[in-house]
Amino acid sequence: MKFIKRSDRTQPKVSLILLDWSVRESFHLLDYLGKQDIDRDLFEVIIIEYYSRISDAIRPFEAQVDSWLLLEMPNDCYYHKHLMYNAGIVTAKGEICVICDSDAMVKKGFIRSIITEFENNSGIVLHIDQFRNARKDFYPFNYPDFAEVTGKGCINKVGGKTRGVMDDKDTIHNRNYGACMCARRADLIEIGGADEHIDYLGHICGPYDMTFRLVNSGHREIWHQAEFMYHTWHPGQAGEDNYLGPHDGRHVSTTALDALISGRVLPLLENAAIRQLRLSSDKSGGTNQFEIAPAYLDTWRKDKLRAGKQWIAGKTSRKVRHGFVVNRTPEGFIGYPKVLDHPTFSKAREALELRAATESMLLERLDNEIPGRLRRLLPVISTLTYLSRAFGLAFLYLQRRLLRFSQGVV
Amino acid sequence: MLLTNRIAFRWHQFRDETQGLVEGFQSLVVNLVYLRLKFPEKQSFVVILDSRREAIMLWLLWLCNILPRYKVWVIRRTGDLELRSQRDFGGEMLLVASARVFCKHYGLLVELRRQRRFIVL
Repeated sequence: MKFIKRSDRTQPKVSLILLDWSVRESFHLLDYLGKQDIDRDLFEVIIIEYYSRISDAIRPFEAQVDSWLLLEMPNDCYYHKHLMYNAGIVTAKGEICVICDSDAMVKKGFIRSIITEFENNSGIVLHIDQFRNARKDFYPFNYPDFAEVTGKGCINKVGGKTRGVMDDKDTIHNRNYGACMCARRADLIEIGGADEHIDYLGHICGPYDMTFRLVNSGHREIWHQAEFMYHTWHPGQAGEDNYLGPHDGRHVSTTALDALISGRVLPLLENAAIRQLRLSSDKSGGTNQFEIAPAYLDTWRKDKLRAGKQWIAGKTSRKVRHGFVVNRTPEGFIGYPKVLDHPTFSKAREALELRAATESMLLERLDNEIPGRLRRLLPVISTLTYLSRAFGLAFLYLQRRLLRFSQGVV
Repeated sequence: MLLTNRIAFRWHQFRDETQGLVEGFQSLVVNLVYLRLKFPEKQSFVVILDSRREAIMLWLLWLCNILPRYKVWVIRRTGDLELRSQRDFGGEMLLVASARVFCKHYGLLVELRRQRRFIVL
């Protein structure tokens, strides 16, 4: 690890944590942060670079950067954003940590809105959604007006707000949880920081892992109704050709969803520095405390995640199949119905769980637990679901195409 | 991105998401059957879903005598859930929500989970 720059701001209220893994072409957020309508000493900007690149994209805005940390991970290691979040949390001096996109635009009241929201509410985790524009003529970024970004080509504007903020049908998929997440640093430390489990390696990750666990620990999740970020199109924004951990098909981590469902608060794999802060009475931390577990240099190696040119998706020790949880342990495999995860039924778990030496043996035994008639019906249910989804998506696709066509965007 | 890559990307997305839906519903049904077989004393509950298709499938499984006939709430919007939970809140029945509906409306359901008997499958 190496610091290019260290913050000399003594008591910032807000710490902005911006990430790069030698891929960012633009850090124009920094330009907008330089135009905020509050005292500059009230916030600090921390850049965390996963590898060793000193990005030229930051140089024009270097005056806005307070801390610039290179984690110096080896090039053959795949990126893990949660490790960078934790580095930011440990490094932060501010009371409120803000994890947000570094290639988005913000209005001059952005930081003030965050501070106000935390002054008016206690026990919250705050998210700010993002207007997204699909026009390719804003790339490379050429400083369009805010009105231009929310105008022609904007794919999620409804009644002056983002579709996600207006939505009450499927918020998890329609809101952009990765755009901007704000939480008190003390609260983030209390839940063990970001989860460094291998399931979050690569593209399937995000601060929502912490949001869900904060909600489980009793915090209220709030989405700002008046403040937004503004994002313009750039190549590779959908994570194409990235390694993907286990996800629900729409790039939301199933491990994070499992945490939400089960009510889990602590991460599966906690960073040592965060744990030290969590257990100590002095939470101030410091830049020299951050630690990277040496085992990651091996387990996150790119060649371990590939079979030929293909990524081996979602290497995980826990799977769910036909409603049974399958856990890999050093002694073999254990399977039990998912309902036994619930505290009401967990007492019966030990008596009802099945064990086998290999995964295939266990799956066969689990299949035999399902009554014969239901087992025969499962493929029918599966086929019906595929067919109805195909019709539904074809309808949705045509509807969106027509909308974009009517807006004049190809 | 090449058109072929784009098509492949979308296909994977469709396949993964639909497989997730299939797995989710199968998980719900298998665990409901398991509850019926192993914990017959806990039969009285309400199943919360987000899809009419899944509600119809549960009804068909009842017709086939694979599942008992449960009270099913189909919740499409958070507002519907607020209304249903207020109206039926007094009951002592166990609420069983599918993982999908829980994730869609977790803001409200996390609160409900703290206040009454509630499991997510």
